[in-house]
Amino acid sequence: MTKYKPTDSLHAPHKLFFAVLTSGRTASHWLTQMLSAHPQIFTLQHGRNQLKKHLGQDVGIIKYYDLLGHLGNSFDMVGDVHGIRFRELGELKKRYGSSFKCAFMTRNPITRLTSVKHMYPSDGFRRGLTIVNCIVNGADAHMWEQINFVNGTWLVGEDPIYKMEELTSEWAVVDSLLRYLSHDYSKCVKESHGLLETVGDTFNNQRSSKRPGAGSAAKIYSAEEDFKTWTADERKEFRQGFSPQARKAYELMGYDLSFI
Amino acid sequence: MPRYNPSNSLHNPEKLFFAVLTGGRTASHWLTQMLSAHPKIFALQNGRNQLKRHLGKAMGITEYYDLLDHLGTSFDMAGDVHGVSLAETSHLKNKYGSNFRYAFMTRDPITRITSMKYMYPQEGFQRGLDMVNHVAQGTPLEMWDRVRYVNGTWLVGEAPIYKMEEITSEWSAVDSLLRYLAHNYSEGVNEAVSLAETVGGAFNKQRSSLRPGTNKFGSDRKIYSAEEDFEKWTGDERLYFRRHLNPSARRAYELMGYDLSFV
Repeated sequence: MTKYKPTDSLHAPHKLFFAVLTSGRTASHWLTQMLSAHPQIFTLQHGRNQLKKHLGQDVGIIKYYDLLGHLGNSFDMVGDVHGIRFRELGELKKRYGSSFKCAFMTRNPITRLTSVKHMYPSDGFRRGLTIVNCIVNGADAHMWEQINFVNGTWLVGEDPIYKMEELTSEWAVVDSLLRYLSHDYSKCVKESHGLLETVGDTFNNQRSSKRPGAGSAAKIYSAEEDFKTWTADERKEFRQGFSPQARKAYELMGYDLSFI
Repeated sequence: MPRYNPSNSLHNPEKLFFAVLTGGRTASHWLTQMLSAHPKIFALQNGRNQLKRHLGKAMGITEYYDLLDHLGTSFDMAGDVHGVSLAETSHLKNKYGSNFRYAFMTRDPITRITSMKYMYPQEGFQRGLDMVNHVAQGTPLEMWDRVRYVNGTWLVGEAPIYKMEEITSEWSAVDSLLRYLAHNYSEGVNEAVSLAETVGGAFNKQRSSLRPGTNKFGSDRKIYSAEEDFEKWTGDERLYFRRHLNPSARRAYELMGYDLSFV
């Protein structure tokens, strides 16, 4: 693998880059705010899509990350949430080497689909089912066959998977994600800044309504109750259309789908 | 003046926009980090210049702010530090009406020139002097004749002026800037996420080296002594400065409380 060359970066030779791969209705908006709350972290939520809408053309993944580095020239760590496809990871890892890290964020398939239904009343069910089957944005469903549980963490290949339900309600999980993305503070993000403490203040100051899983998380997101609110046709379509591989992956990660 | 039309904003009809106008060596890097530390604020440091260099696309000011709006889609407030000229603020006011606010940030002219000298050993002195005479980026000298002190705040026209030395060392100055830019928390920024407290938490955890105006926040100890800096200049530099410091700029600086009696 080609190592990241410090000379590639005009402003911060030790800059770190990251990506969080996720899909719709998985708290990416919230996570972007959380990460941005640290004075050394610059985060865009699907910024490439915004650029595309604005410029009329896609700038490509490498150019987008170069631009991220420049727009975030005041920051030690820059990255994107919800704007990177699984197949693009190889390019970023090749360009930035060990200075790049990525993580996945997923969510219970039933509550996710319910959320997509509420967002898109006319076609939300179909859209949600497609997302649930692909799990991460643009990822090939076959990747989920590679899921491993290593040292207390679920992994796809070498990259960890976080559950939205845990990330938005348990500080220890936020801690884990931040440590992972920032290389456990070992490189350029200044330890003295107290990465966790600073973001932690924000986490604790956020209104509970902005923490999707906070408080009575289990009750707010009861997959079984959500499932019961679906129509009989929807439940039937889901049982028929839910990919066995995706189901296996979700169950492997501890999501209870026994009531389906 | 046309009011901001909520339908212009795809994501947040209550979004607020801001600009901080300043010149080089005035802690704009630090201020960008400070503002960005709030989960509701999206700030770029002269992002338009980065977009131009990187994408080869020159943007007008309203086009740049449209993009800022979209890039900062997760945030209630979006703005730029050090990338907007005074002339351009009128375009932003026309577009966003009362949802746009701007402020100036200035600095002691002697320490600013000294800082420019360190940054650009060849031409830093002249560049610094030019900047000092213009005070804020792209600002005509004449406007500084209109500096006035109203209700505890220095103003040029309707926009407040903040001193870098105070904003980087006094929490009350940071609080004042945040309250001003965020419309005293009363419009789009959620009050429940205490703006000052959240940014304050990040601020106090910053390394002291990233707080340009002080070794310890709230300390009386000055690490920027203009008089000491001035004494370190060569005799020719001091002479040149005395001859070329624009009288109206000097007047504006002195009006704002900068001591230039030793010049």
